[in-house]
Amino acid sequence: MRKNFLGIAAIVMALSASAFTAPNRSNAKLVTYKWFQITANRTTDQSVPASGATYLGESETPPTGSGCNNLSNRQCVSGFTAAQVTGSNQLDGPQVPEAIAATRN
Amino acid sequence: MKRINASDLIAALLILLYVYTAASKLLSFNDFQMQMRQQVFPAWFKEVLIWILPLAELFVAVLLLIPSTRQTGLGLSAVLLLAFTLYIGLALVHVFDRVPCSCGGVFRRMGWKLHFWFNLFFLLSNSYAIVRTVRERRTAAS
Repeated sequence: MRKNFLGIAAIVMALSASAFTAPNRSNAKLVTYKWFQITANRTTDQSVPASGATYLGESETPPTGSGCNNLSNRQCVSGFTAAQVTGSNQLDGPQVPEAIAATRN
Repeated sequence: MKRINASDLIAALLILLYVYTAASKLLSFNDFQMQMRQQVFPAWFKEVLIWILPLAELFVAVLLLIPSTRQTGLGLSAVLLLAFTLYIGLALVHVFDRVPCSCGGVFRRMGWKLHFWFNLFFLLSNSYAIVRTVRERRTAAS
């Protein structure tokens, strides 16, 4: 019984700690990316040319995109920082994404 | 009522570790998904890992909690910790050119070196608990 109590106490502590250290969306530094639908055939570690990316929008959470099935390592929806994108929301030359939200075949 | 011994304490620490990391991943699931998709594994494997990792951690925690399955839990835990520790070790020697940390909670802020020693400590403790548990069972059987 004492041994089980130790385990249960560990679970309670872990759940409390994880809730305490989880990112607080209301006052945390929010990271937003400029999301692009990647039409170029690029693996997740390759740069994307401007001609192979269509701007979807800017947000913390990525948009769904189209044709993304997450079954390969080809970029489908990728996130870039403002520094990687021009004022007209085109990629500023070939860019390696900061975040990859979805992949496709 | 049996006294609490070192193996019980180690099992409790492992439960704390696994429940914390699994819960942290699930509470920030979008972030965890994005970080995992940037790992250097094949795409199909990444998608499997996204679901398997937190579930495996919770499963091992449950096995560790139940006395009759604790030994199995310790064994699976050792496998998980070995895999994590090896991965971090490879990241430290720059085998991967791109290693975003898909770690949960406070481990994100740890840095790879500290994370490596942290994992190694738990792996060694886990191994000690396995050896102790096996010896206790042999003593009880004889």
